[in-house]
Amino acid sequence: MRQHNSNHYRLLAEIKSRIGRDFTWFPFVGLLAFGLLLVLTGHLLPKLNVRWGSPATLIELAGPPSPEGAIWFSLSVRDEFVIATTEDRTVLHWHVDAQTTEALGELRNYLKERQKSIFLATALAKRVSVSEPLVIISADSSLKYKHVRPVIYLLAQLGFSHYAFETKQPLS
Amino acid sequence: MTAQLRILKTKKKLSKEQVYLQIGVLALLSIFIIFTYGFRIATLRWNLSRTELYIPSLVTEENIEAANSPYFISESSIAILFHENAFYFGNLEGFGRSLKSGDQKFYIPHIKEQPQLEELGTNLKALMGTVLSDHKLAILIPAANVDITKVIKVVDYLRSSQIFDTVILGGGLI
Repeated sequence: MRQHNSNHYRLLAEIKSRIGRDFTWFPFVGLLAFGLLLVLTGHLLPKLNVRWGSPATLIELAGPPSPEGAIWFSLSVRDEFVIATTEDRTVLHWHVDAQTTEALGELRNYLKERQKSIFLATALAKRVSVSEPLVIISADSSLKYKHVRPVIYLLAQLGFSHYAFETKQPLS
Repeated sequence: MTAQLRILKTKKKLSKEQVYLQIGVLALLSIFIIFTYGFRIATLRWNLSRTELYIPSLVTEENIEAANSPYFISESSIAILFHENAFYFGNLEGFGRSLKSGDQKFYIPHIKEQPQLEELGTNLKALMGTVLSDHKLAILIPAANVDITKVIKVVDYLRSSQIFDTVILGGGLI
């Protein structure tokens, strides 16, 4: 009987000790979730920078700021191909020697779609702007004019009236 | 003996947890700092600008009233050929008749492959004074192998120096 009681008390003491142990880890899970929420709402709500990750290296040149809502894509050269990276990170490419707009079929389709969506948004918003849509080309500094020329021809064929080359504002 | 053992165990346990607590707090703070910097980089807007160019539209008798632009390309419009070695410029009439003849064309060579923009500007201003045209429109025709950075710089110079309001990029001539 004494032996039985002793075992019982030992078991009770063990349970007490286990229950009494501080679980110090659980506030960290809450803290982690709270912190992540804070960081995400603080930084991701202002919208991701669409230019982030663009393969084009730009030249420094002062000028008017790039407007919101323009059609943007970057142009760069890699392995005998001209690479166009769009805002939604779609990668389109054609051969560097392409001098006609026929080779730029993918870019043509992309620009047509963007043009259509901008016109639809303009119609739904009941506003008219003669200067829209502006096409902004973020051209890599390694490009030659012959790489960009077919793109300009394509813009003319699609009825764009103006476009712009993106530059980096000097720091001073 | 048992009490001492338990005190020792408790002490050990408490001391261990304190270390874990500090490590945990430091690790969490580090994660937040890394996330904060990471997201800031991803959301920070770059200070970007633009150099704007125009694409001419064909005006016919049917749509001449719809074309609301004060700029028209005519024989007196200024054309600038941006070759790898020099600028050739003059009015479009001169280039239209014969590209190789020296009539009504001017020439400014690059020095050490650098385009002489100031000299081009001075000469263009002088030429603009003689041209019977009230519009400030230039047609820039770069050669195929000219760097795009140089093209952008020339366009920016022509516009920022207020020699021209509108610059059109052309191609195919050289």
